[in-house]
Amino acid sequence: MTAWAKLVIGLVVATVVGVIGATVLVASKVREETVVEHPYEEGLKHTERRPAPCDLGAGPCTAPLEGGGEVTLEIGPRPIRTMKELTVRGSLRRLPAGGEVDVAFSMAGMEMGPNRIVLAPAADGTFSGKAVLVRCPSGRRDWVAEVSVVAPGAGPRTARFHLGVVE
Amino acid sequence: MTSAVAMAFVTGFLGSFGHCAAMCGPLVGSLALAAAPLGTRRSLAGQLAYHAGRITTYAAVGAAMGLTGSFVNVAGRLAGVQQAVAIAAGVLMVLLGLGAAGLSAGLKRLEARASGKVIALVRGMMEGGGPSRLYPTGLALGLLPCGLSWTVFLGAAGTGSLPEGLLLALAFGLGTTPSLLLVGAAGTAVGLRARTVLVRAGGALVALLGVLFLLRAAGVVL
Repeated sequence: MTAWAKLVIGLVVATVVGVIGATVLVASKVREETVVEHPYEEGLKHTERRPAPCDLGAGPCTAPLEGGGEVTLEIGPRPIRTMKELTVRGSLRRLPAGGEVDVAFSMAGMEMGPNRIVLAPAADGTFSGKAVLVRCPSGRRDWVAEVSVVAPGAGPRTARFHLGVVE
Repeated sequence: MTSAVAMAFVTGFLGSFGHCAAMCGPLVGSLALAAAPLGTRRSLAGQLAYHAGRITTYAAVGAAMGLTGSFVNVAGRLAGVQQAVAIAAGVLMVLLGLGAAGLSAGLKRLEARASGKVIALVRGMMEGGGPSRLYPTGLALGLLPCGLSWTVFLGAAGTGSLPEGLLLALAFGLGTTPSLLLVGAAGTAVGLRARTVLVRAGGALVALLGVLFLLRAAGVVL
């Protein structure tokens, strides 16, 4: 090995050691005392106390709309199956009458293409439409339904729902 | 309609860089790796022929969806065929991978002794091929189950029109081509420049991915 190669390797090693040392030094200066005695156990308890997110695959779900109002969404027939025609029903609360409602289906972290349906208003104040969820060959069964409501004179308000399909 | 076709193209183009490159990239890469010994021009011509076949199938399915106006009915009829195609794709990948790993030479010796037509056929598949062989391969593998293409076929059914459904699926297929061609070109480059041991290792990896394709087609979720 040449003297130059030894010098370069020595410099690289010295730089790495220096960076590690500096990181330890800075971390020791900005370190904060733990405010919870058993943070791991506390974290587990917090997760246990948190209610499970509503699954449209199990029944209707209600969620607040960002920007005000509330929407209840229901998809049937249940259990929800892919590649079958589904009926989507929505009802709005604490929103001015009228407006347009659409639902976009997607899968987190998996590009499934644009799948958006517009719900038509019914006489009883609800909205409904037909949808099809396609099968993901990877075997994933977790979908997200994002409801978008455009009320007269207001910007779009959205709410997200999770839904699990059985196949 | 123009905006829907443009949207389908953009869906294919943007979606393919993440989705198709990951899901179908190994298959396209294995075809390119196997065809690399034929030379750059013939290998790329083969890939173009493969994509032309795949897009032809997309257009045909899009047209059928548009004509019937029913995604559920057409998709239901295709379900069994698609599973068979997924299994065939897995088998093809295993063979191409084993071919790149150097097993086709061994089969050639066996073929000379046994004169087996089946062995000759298997060896032919292992060695990939040019455009005349890859166009029909693309036609068949265009039926591979894919969430992204299904959503576009859903849109094609929504048009309720044969020409519009065909155009939508055609635009989508064209949109997916650049990213998959890039993957294929990378496979060709590896096949041409890499040392034998690297190509063999790549072939073994492709064969392994083929097994994963097969397991997925068989419904084993990994």
